[in-house]
Amino acid sequence: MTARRALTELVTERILARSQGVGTFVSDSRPMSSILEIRSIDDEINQRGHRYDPSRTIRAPRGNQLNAKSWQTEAPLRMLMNNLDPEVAEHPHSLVVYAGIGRAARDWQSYDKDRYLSSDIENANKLLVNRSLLDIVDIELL
Amino acid sequence: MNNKSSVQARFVQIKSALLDKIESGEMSLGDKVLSENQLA
Repeated sequence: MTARRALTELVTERILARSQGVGTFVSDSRPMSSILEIRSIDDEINQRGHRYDPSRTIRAPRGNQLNAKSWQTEAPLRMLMNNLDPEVAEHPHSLVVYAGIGRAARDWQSYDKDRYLSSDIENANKLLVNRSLLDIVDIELL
Repeated sequence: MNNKSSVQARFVQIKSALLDKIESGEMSLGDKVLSENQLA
């Protein structure tokens, strides 16, 4: 009973994985952290192989000057950038928008690609097909 | 130590031992864990 409880908790924490009739296996060789250890979210993100770049500060453009090729694509461009505004995002230098894991882009390279596509494509439908923005924000097209 | 707390202590021991093995690298991704009966 005690062993079962220990295994069940580790399965719940996704450190172990159970396979019916086969056994229990290690599913994560790098547990997030020991219980009493408090680490910075940026270190945690770095250790998981995600990019942390303190040199980049993103602020969405404001006002009526167009930065994309059309207002249709200006909107998602500003949304993407606004997600990473230091006044909005939880850890903007790690692309984390909320809850420690919700990121605006997979990595800075993906962010740059999204940013480039937003400013280079005129049609919003085409833009959404071409970029990973669909994963990030739910946009209802007119 | 009453029965309830000794059961709890045993459960924590088993869990800690498994975590230690994983953190130290003794057990790694994909390794099979001993069965419940073997761990008990």
